[in-house]
Amino acid sequence: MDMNNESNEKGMESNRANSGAAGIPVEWQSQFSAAFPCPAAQQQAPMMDSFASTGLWASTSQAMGLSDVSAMSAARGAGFLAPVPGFLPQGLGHFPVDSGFIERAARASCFGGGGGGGVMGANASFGAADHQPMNNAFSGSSEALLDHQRKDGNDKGEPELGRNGHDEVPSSEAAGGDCSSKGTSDSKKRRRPNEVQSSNLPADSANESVHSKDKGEESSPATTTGKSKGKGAKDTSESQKEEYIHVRARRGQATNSHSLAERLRREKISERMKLLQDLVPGCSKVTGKAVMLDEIINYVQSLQRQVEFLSMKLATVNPRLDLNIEGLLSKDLLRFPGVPSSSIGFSPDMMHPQLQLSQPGLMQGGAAGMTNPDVFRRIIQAQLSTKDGSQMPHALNGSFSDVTQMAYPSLGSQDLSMRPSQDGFQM
Amino acid sequence: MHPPRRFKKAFMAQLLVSLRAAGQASKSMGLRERRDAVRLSSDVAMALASSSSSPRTTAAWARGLVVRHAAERRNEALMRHIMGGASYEVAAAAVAGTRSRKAARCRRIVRRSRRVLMRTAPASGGGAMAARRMVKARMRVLRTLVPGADGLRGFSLLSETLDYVACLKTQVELMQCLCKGSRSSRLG
Repeated sequence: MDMNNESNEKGMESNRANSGAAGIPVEWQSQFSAAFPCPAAQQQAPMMDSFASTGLWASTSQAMGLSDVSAMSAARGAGFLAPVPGFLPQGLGHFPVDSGFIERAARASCFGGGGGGGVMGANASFGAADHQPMNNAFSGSSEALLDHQRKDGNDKGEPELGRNGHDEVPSSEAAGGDCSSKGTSDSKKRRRPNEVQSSNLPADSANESVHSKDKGEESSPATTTGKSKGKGAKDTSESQKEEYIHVRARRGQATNSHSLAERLRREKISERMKLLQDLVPGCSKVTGKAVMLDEIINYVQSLQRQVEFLSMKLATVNPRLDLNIEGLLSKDLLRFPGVPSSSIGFSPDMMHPQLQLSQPGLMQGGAAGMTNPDVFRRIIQAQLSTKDGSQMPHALNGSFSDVTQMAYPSLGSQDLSMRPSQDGFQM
Repeated sequence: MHPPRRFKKAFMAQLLVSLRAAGQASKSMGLRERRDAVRLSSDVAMALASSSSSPRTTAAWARGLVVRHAAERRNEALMRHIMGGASYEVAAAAVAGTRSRKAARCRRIVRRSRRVLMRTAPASGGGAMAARRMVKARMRVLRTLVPGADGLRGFSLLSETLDYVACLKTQVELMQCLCKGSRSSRLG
């Protein structure tokens, strides 16, 4: 969970904006009192949550599950369909209307390029222009879904299997795009497939992966631009990373280099806005850049005021600023996985993810409650002793790696004995 | 989920250290000074933690934040103590750099000329133009809010804002923790 993965590709999964079904957003509501570990705990299954929780994708993945077993394997290769059943969603049937599209699209894509024409005809009827913004978002997200799955199932640099000319199916059939865009995203060159895979695990990289997948989705060999929707012209030559991003023009859009670049830029910006939307609470209903920017500004101002207020409070609470670190550590356990006597009085259900997080295997998992304050104390003392300021960051890193070695021996038996039943909820 | 645990831990550790340093430095200060010292130490802690936990790219806001604090002379001793002389020198250099930066000045000139143009010939292209102007105005406000984001436009500004918002949230949480902890330790 590198925060920096975020810095360029930050943000929650943009999917969260749509995840009305899941209980995840609840944490965002009580953000000021909630512990981060709660959302952090969810990060383990970002794929599941982010993709399964949105009803639309839920239905599509289900449809894919249905159609997959039958025919898709022939066209696509069974390898990357394996993860699909794993993604069978929890929230189904939110969009019954789309299921018809899904079936049609699934069937069409199953039968390869031949079906493309039919689907194209269906697309035309939807009036691509109207649904353009929505389609962009959905196609982006559906392709993100596929990329994610594929990333799990495959190794990178996957050659283009059955690339049929369904490039633009997703553009108007939001749900249907899921199935057919599988083929398209096969052909589309991902910009950083390696990083996307490796960065899947860390927390923020969920956002990072969404972001880079978005970049990858529009990058495709710019062989044919607007008009070759129906054709299956593909180049297998460039399945590796490119120097610069190739963008495929969507149907009905200008294909200048300028407008392509501008569209790319605009999509990046909208991606960022989506991430920000997830970050700032209460922004999910708001659409439009201006209003959202307003919300963001208010939020930043309120956060800054809060910081000031809290600093004033801290200054009054301990008049000499001599924090009793030992005492603090024994009580300050909101973030740490160990559970103390809840003297702070946070709700117990918040502790559970923290408990489960303390599985060995993570450096950050830390130790059981007993050992944690000691460990942390050691960090602080190491810092204070070696502190020159200039070596502070290095000391931090070094001491954190020490933490793991120190923590694990103590972890072993304690953990097993104290948490026999908790398992599975890996970070 | 947004800020990783490592960041929070680093931040917390750093915060405690800097607070202790602040406490040592300021034995007897007025409330306001103490509050400023607390804020300074927490901001510096945030900047340092973010740059240490993400060695690849240092966020622009981190540098801007530190520079903002370094601009005040009376913080110098404390900052030197916390960050160490070398980093402080870097920050001081950046402060001197912000005084006169060519790019910023050029941009300001361009902006002023564009404003004059707008004023002379307000050709309103309907609602789109108004919306765009609103967006631009808000971006400007955002630029004043987020430290170190003065020279950024559009996309990078949003990225910086994202970073900054996440870090602010972390900061608020950590400080709340500290408050509660020290309060309960004082009462108990």
